[in-house]
Amino acid sequence: MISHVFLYIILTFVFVSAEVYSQLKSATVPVKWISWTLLQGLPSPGYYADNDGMNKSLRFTLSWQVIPLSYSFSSNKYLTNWSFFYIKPVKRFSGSAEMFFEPTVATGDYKYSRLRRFQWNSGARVVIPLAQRGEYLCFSLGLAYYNQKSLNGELNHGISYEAGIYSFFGMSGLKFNYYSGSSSRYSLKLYLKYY
Amino acid sequence: MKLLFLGLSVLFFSCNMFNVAVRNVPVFFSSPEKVRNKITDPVKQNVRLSVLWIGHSTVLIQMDDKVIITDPLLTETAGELARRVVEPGIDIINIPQCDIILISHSHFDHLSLGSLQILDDICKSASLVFPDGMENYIPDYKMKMVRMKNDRGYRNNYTGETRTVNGLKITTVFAQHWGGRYGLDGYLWGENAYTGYVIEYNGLCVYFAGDTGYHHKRFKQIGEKFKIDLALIPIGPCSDCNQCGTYNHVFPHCAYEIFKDTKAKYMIPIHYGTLVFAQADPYEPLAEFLKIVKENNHEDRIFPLEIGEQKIIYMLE
Repeated sequence: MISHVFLYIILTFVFVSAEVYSQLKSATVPVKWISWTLLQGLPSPGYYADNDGMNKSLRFTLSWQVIPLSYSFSSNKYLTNWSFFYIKPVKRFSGSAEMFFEPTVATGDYKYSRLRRFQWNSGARVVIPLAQRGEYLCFSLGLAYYNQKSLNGELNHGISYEAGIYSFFGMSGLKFNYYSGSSSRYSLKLYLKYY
Repeated sequence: MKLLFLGLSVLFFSCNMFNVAVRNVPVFFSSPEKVRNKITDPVKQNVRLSVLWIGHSTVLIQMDDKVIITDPLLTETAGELARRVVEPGIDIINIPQCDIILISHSHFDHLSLGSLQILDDICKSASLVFPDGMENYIPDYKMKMVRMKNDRGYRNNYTGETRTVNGLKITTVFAQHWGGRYGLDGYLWGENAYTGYVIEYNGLCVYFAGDTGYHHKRFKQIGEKFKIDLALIPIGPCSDCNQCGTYNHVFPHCAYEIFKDTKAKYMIPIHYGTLVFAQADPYEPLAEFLKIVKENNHEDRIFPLEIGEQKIIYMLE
């Protein structure tokens, strides 16, 4: 408890004080990468349909956005078009294609569709800018393979289609997925990813 | 407990943005104030040096036959959350062909991707000049991009580099600010893409301070190196405007100190009156600054402009 309070005070100083962050111009490489890695742990909340044809319910889920590879269509001459895991927002929202991996955990078992809590989803999507070069608004379309086991151990897998819309520098958005062949066919999730 | 801790941390991390958002709620639902009698022909044949204040840090400068625009903000909002209180001081259709677009740093009120897109369609032969590190925040444009060194945030020197771009001699000079655009990248990761500029052409010299805090030595050095005709210096935002400023921003008193240190002949105050920031009323800096100008009898050298107003500094003889 005390350590939490102590850490909280330090974080408050780091984030809020102009004087402090001005002194951090020479931030070390580990500070950057440790903080970035920690931020990747920030989950994106969402809801999955839990459906057996007769009964319907919703499952609250947490997903993580991992982008191992991205190609930007609009990089300037000083940057490479390619990014690996660490994606500069402007390279993403101004127009890009990316491969993604998205593990998802539900807070409870799927009662009606009899699926286990964990699912992963991996595929490709394109991000297309709509307003202010995509920084204010962009959308994505994607295709993926999903994999989730049922409670009795059978594999429930197939193709999923997704459409997303993003604001605030492409770092936050809303994503809709359709899972073909699954008894739980829909999900609606937030997309949260810092760099 | 852990969730509470995480939630509070995220809340504090976003508190500055939250403040900006809250302060902007009333502004967001009202239209920006109209600018009357906008100038339709900002570039004139018989003018050597003139300045048209478009709002905030956006200034259209004519230096003989060259046109420069600084930190263009031509859109209604900056960073989605901050909406203009006054519309831009020029209609887009009247923006002339420009030679240089200068960007001082990557914050939302200075680097507007939508505004650059507008200028990209108008100023086909312009060069977009920005400090080292800002390439991480801008997409590709048709304009020629020119990245200039800034001594990695002016750690040791007061100048970055000098280059001739489209016939104008441009030097990146000291500014005391911070970079980044999305919070943590500026606060913690040490992004330091920020700068001031000195532009020289045909014996004319204009200093654009960008966004800066005060330093007792660096601005004097700039004043010794350059014979500045006109300085564009920020005077806000501030809520406690009788102070010097913060580490990153000058308030009116230290803006005036920069004017004195740089030994500029004339000054036009900028960076106020356009956007609502978390900590300040947009017009507060001007009231304090006018007092300073009057106390020092500098009404003939310092010209606070209305948004959309043009000041001709030198006419062709």
